[in-house]
Amino acid sequence: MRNIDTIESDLTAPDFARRQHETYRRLREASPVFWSKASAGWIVTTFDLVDEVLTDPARFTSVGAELAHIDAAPGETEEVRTHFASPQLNISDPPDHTRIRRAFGRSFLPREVAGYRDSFRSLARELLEGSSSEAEFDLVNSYAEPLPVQVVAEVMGVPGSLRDLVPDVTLGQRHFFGESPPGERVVDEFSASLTEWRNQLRALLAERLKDPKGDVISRAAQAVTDGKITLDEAIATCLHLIIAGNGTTTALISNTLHLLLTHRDQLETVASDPNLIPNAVEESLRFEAPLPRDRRIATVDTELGGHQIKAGDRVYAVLASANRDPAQFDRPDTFDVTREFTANQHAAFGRGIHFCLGAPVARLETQVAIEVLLEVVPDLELVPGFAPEWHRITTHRALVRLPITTNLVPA
Amino acid sequence: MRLEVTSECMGVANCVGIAPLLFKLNEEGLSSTMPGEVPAVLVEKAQHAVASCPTRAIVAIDDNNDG
Repeated sequence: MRNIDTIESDLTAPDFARRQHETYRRLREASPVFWSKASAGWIVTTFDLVDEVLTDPARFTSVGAELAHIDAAPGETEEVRTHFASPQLNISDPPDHTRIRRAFGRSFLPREVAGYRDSFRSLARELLEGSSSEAEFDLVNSYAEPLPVQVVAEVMGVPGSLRDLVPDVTLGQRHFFGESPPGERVVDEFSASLTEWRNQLRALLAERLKDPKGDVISRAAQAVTDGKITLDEAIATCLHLIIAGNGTTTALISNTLHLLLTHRDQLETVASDPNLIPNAVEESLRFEAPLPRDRRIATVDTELGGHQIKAGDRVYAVLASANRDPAQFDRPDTFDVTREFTANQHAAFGRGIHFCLGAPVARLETQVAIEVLLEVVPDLELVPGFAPEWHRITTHRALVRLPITTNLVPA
Repeated sequence: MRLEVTSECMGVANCVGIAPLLFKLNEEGLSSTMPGEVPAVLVEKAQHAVASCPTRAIVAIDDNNDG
């Protein structure tokens, strides 16, 4: 019992981020389905149970939590409510989910996304050319943050003039859902930025219907005209995709670079054989899941791993822990860029119907980010004495900064 | 045992990696499976592909269990 009590205090400790893997290991061993008072929900930590939760949307739904949160928020929330009342991929169940994913799915097929390789490479090069001549620079703020904004905008078809507005709405949404209830200023800012984006997207959808470009927004406009999705669903889903592709991939790129820079032998392996880069990205996804946990709500009274779950209970499927489950992966705490994944996939992109739609984009852009960085700055090193600091948000596993030095002699 | 790929397929292509004799990507980039009974020597690979599909898009239909 005492063991379980200390786990509860570890889950809420200020240094939780630094010790998350150790805390989850203790949970897997002591109680893989654990009621956390502080999280007001069940924490599920083994691979098989995480899989059970995520692949049964009839028992564990993704719908509902957002609207309850909005109801409790102060101030003017009408536009926010309208936005989250439209079914979107991450907060819907079949049949809405199936219909919407089918309308957007084609753009995100691995084969389709592969066509963006050269364009992602130029975006990455452009960003590095601005910084790589400096002796020291921060990879998070000059590379891992701006690259996903540009990449997602490219795939979606968001024009250059709107790209500067992406970080605002991304952070606005994170702050809005980060506190319960959110403060009035947070509500006002998010509401303003959301309204601006919804208006811009409504105009863009109309424009692309007349003049289609082959991007996601053009295809969404066509799907509305064909009666497959509603205009509100198109607006909400496009904005969701713009936001979802940001913080997550920033975390993935910086985690991967951090892991490689702190495992020099692995970095050398990858540098001498760039064909291993895709596998190194998979291992980074497994080792440091950018979204450590995914939330569901039980729809019925049910049993999970020997525990009685009540209808309405929150259930957190901890992807970061499933990925370190020794029942699923040999040497789970070893970072190994040559690990075999074909027959044993990690859970970082989720499991089941909500498996990340943008996974092929995240994979390709992270592979390209590493590839281009190693080409442009082959001699990079972490600043001496660097100690990782993680953002104190439970939704993302993200480094605050990643300062590196380059030993390039200026030309 | 027969196999079916449902509309949940997102073209991840794990199955193609695990059992290239049973699955291939079609012209849309989605997985498709060969029709008919899975040969006995490939049943284990088929089960492995079913279990490892992250979107749970592969269904194994066991005709022998009907009677």
